[in-house]
Amino acid sequence: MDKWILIFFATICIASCTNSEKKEQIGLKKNDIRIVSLVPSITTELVSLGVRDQIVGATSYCDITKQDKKLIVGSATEVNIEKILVLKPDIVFAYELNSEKTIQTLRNNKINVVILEKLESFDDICNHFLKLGEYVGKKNTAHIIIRNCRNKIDSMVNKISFKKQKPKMFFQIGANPIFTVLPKTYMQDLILLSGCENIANGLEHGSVTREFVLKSNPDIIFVTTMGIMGMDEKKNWEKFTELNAVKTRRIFIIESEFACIPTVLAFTKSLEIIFEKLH
Amino acid sequence: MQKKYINWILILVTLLVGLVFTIILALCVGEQNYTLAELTKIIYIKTGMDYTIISEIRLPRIILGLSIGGALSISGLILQGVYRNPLVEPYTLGISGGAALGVVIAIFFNLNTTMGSLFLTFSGFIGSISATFLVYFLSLRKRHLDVNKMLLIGVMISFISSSMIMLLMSITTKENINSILFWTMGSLDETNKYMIKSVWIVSFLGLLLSYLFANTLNALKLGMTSAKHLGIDTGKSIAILFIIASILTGMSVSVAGVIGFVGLIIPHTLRIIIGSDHRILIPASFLGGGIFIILCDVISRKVISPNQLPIGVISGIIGGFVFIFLISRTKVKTM
Repeated sequence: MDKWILIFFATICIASCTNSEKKEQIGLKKNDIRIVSLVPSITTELVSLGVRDQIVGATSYCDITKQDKKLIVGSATEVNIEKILVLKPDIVFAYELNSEKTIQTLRNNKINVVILEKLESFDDICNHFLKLGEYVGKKNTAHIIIRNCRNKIDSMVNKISFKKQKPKMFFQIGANPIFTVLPKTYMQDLILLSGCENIANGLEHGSVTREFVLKSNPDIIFVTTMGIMGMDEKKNWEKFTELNAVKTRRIFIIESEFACIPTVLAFTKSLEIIFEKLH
Repeated sequence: MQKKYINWILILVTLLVGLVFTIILALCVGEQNYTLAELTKIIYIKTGMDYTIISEIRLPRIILGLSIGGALSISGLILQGVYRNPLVEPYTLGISGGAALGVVIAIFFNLNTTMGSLFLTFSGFIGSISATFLVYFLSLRKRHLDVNKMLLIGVMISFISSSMIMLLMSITTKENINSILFWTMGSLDETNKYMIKSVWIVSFLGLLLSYLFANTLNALKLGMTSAKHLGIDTGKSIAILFIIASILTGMSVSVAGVIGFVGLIIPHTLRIIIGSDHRILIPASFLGGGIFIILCDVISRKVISPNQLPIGVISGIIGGFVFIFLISRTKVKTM
């Protein structure tokens, strides 16, 4: 009798596992590639390309895992390799923070791992987005999104009113210590496209002293939100009444979720916010 | 007046003059260097960006450097006296570990972004006080403090705190890792004037209070039994001294992050030079610690200007080398 009860429960368990596997595959069609993204910005881009249902794994910091925790395969730096192998992805997107050992292990298990290159400009972001579109069979969608964004940016750039001398901008992306946007980063393009000059031109490291900023005397200061720390930093800068940006009341807050995410749509949105404040 | 006291006055005057020169150097050197004449003119005029840099950026850092350098030095001196162990310093005994853990927990839960950066300081202080209470109450045996037990428990708390910090770092976001790393390396960048004033007041009060126990610390050098025979209530004295050291360390770590080795290097260096009488060591350590931290801050601001190095890195490397040099060249006077 005990033996039959055990077999009965085992059968129910096996049946429920099979059913759940079928449910998970409902969103995926036969020819859809299975994607794992270890990079939050790439996950966002994949969703904008319309392949959300093909994402079978993502990090705990990707937006989609906030709604579906079953998709979590790791954190910003650590991944559960076993879980990724079980998911049998066709492609895994990774970046510099993922350990080389993890990437090598995945490749040794014949998983295609694509590593995000460093994005130094808006052009790099667009090229990367196009390549992403190619990988997931959505190249045309990527083209359309990029074209629309470039058109928006071009129409904004034509409205620039700083004709004679470019104003100096300090773009703060960190507090304690103070971090500035550096040249050869995509955020530098936010400054240049808005018709301004970066006070950090020529620097190689982003951590600067408050004294450096005062000495540079920027005309415009943008501070990313960083929670409420952005507001705290804005108030800190407003204490220095000798700053040009304080005299002309051009210290602004910009949301980190737009300014600090290297995607085509977030970049365009950030530029819209900057233009709204400046021009 | 005895020759000894004349020497002490000379030592204090020398240190005070050294402090004045260090302050002038720190005011003159930075992103923009000023000569003494230019500095005088700027202070006299009291307007313009140069005056803002001197009064709003450099001067607060100097005051903070003096307060924290002094606090950490005295804290180290007190703990070395209480434990009669030359290797003891504020960072060995769990106080700073507790402060660091408090701050890391706040960063992990993004409390600094939701409640303001002042909350980090508050968390650090709560962490250090919690560690202090743990060490104190776990070391009580039949209402008496067991000093050896305090040392061991303090060291273990320090290890546990480090491990928990590593655990939190391994599961938190990339942005939080950066915040934690930079905080643990120390910084004198503080814009809140009330915070700077509070640190200065607490540090100075710590100096005055610990000076009241100078003779007690001298007696403790002879051992617990001898100190008791000299009429010292060792249990009560050790408890009070431990609390003073904890508050000074907790405050320093929660405001400026981890600036290591000051509590070890400065007292030992001064012992080599001026002897081990705490009546001169305490004020000398305060001044010496202040001078040391202000100089480290100047170096951290200038070496890779306009970028800055974390001050904890400078204090550790320079302080360590200078100390090894002094120790290897002189016979160490006993504590």
